[in-house]
Amino acid sequence: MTETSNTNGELYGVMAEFDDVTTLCNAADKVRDAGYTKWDCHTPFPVHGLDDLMGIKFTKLPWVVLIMGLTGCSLAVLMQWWMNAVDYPYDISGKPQWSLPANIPVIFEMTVLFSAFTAFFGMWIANGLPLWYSPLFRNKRFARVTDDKFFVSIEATDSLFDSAKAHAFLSSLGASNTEDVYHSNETAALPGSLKGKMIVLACLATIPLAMVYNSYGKTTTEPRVHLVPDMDKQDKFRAQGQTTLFADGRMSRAQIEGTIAQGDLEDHSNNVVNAAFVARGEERFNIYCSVCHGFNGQGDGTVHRRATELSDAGHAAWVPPANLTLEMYADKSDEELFSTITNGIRTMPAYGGQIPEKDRWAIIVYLRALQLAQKGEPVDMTGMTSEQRGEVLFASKSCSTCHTVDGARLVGPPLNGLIGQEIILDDDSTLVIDDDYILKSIANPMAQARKGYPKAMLEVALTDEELTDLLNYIKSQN
Amino acid sequence: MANSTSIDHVDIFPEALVQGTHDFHSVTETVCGIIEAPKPPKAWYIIFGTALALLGVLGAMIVYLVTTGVGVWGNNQPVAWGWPIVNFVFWVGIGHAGTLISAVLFLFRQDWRTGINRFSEAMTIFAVVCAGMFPAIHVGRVWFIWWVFPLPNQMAMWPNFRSPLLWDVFAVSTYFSVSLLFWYMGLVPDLASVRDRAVTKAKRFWYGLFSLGWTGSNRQWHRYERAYLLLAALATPLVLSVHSVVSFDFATSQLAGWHTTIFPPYFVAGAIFSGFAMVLTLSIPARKIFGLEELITLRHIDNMTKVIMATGMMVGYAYAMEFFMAWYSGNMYEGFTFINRAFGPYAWAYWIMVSCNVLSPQIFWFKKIRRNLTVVFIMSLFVNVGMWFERFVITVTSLNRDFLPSSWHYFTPTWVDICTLIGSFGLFFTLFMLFCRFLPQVAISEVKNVLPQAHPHHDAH
Repeated sequence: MTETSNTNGELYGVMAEFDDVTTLCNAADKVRDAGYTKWDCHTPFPVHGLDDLMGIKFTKLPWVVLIMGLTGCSLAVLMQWWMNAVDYPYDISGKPQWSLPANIPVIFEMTVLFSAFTAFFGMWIANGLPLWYSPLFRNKRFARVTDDKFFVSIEATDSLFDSAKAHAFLSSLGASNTEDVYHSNETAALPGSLKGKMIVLACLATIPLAMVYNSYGKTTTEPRVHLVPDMDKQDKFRAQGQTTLFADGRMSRAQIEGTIAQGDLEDHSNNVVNAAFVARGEERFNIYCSVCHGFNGQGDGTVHRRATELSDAGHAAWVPPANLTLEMYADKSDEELFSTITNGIRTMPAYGGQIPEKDRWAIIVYLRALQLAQKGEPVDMTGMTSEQRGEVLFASKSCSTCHTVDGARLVGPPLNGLIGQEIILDDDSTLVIDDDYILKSIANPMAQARKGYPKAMLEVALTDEELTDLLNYIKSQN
Repeated sequence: MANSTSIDHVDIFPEALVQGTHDFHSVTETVCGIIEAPKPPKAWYIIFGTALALLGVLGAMIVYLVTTGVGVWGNNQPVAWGWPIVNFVFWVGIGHAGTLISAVLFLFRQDWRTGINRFSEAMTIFAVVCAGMFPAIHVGRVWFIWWVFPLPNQMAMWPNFRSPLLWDVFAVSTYFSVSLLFWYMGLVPDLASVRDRAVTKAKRFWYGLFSLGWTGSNRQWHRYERAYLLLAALATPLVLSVHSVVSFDFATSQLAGWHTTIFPPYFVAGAIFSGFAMVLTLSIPARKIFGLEELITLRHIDNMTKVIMATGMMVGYAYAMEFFMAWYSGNMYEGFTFINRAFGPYAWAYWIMVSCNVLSPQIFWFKKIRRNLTVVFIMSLFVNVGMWFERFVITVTSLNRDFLPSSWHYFTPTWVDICTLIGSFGLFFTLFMLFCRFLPQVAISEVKNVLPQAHPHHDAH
């Protein structure tokens, strides 16, 4: 037994040195069988199979990592949702403010980050490191534990510990050397030189804080420090500034006589309203206006419908676009409409930058056509036959929205050749169409609905005379 | 009881992972000897001196840039993404081999990684430092770079989490953090080796401080190995995600030549390709200068050239597939972009890229060449050059032909661009040379683990 450690303190335990892996593994097996609990092997590299021989319980670290990984994942979801959908929502091309796919990369990275930090720091914490002091370090032989020697240490706090027995036992297992290891009596105070340096550093570290505190909430007459002068003072001409470059000393240049500024060339004061101009207006209206105002100008465009759905579901507030066919808009002057398109109004943005002036006028002309088309002028029906009056009613009472008279199917059944036709009703009974059935179906459409068509027809309020006219018209279409 | 897997490895491969007659002590001696030598080899001074000078150039360029503005670079419409992004992608790509070697090869139980993993992990970290620098300085007002992180600020604003550039911030910073942890964790037992051999007080203090009081306790090794495995398992998807996210910077934009789904795998293959090339560029001289030939053997070099050849062919496949898709999509803009890429004003750059990345690695089919260090070293340089040009080609050829022909513009870098790129190599090599001098270049405890005598009853075989 060679003593290489200092023996000035309390006994820590017994340390045995082994020369190769095989002997160490055998020894570990025996030490565990002997019933020791507070003991350990020390090796320069992880020896495979030693965990089982020592009876080390599998670490719980993976579970901790899993839990922290899930925490990172949830935090990433929560953070992105709160920051981008709640606290500072970004409106980008009307895309939803919260959509998971775009948030997956950050969720993934945060999951990995949390897991990795947990694996790393969790391992050191579970290992009780960093702990720069170990009584084993006081033994000079132990320095070779990170080189080529293998050690078994049994601690004095183990209930079975007996120094002499432990020495004999470990020697019998093939240890090339066994010896006692002692705690140190010395205090673990920092070296004096280090203390001094740390005090100086700590004092220096307070200087910036003191400077910040000194200027906190104060004003100064000193000019600001320009760390990056090129960015603060740029050599460029600003509007209405002075310069020596031009004779008049002004940076802004007046328009040179006889020239026209870009975009000012066309004169729109006398646009010719013809079919082509209206067609142009229709095209522009359908591109720019119809998304909100609808293709017919009634304010039921796709954006409006979608926004209404969302606001009904409580996701957004929505100011509906105007129904431009109403009289109040028909009464507005062209100039006023032009101004609205150009500058916008309420939630409607300004389109002056996107739609050239001439096109804005074309849109107004087309809008006038839309308003006129939907105004509904009374038709003079004097001198018409009953069938002709029925035809007018067929169009004006919106029958033609759902029915045709040429055999084509829209929403409801086509209305030509009805009389004498055998049809199947909703209750699977059959019926031969006669005048009475047609009249009843107009007055109360769903009473005897036909099978295979949506039950969508509304009651139509007609006078008896109108009913007769309509019936005659339908009967004439055979 | 005996774990004989690794012994079988040695049997299958006639070539041992460690050459010569090494025992545990001689491995420690070889690796720690480099750090303990009173003076490093002459070559170290030459490389370190040069690197330090270039680092000075980089510092000067950054000061000039920050005080003047990004106008000192060649970036301008339509090529608003010029060399800074090219250099960023180049460096971050190189930074992929380290984690691939340490994590992916670890999971696949490729024991040959032990000789080179420390090396390549260090390279990864330094490459990511170089990479991270470019986006940071390219914002112009570098003192606002912290806006990329979701930190509360006086504007009450949060970053846009649906932006690929923001994903990049998270991906690269996570990658850097995890790589650093992985690297440092592997270093701890080896730092303890250096600590236990240290003769000066300063060395005992510093190596002691960073080895965290490691005693080689098997109860600690148990958790250590488990944590190492966990980190490897976490780093594996991470390494694949990082360059995928970098590729999203391009792929999610609506630009012909960028807007393709092939980008993520194509970028990852390219990153591994360039990373392994850089490992070779560094390890071939280093093993000679520091006498590590018996730990970083010809078998390691051979294996790395095979990886380079495989990934080189993947990259070549991606180049071909881009052309096929441009034609097959019937999209005239895609078609134009790719014809322009190969035959337009930057055709010279395109063909440098193809020759370096696709053609040159093909010579690695021959074993004789795979083991000819001079040729391998030169080829690794070719690949480095080729992969820089790949990023240049992707970035510049797509941008310089805008949708609006009136804004077409031939991009040329300024002298500041060039000096900044060269300077970034100064930063990289300065860090790397410091690593070579002060930290164990080879994972001592892992190499010991692949020696036959590391396993109980090895004599029986």
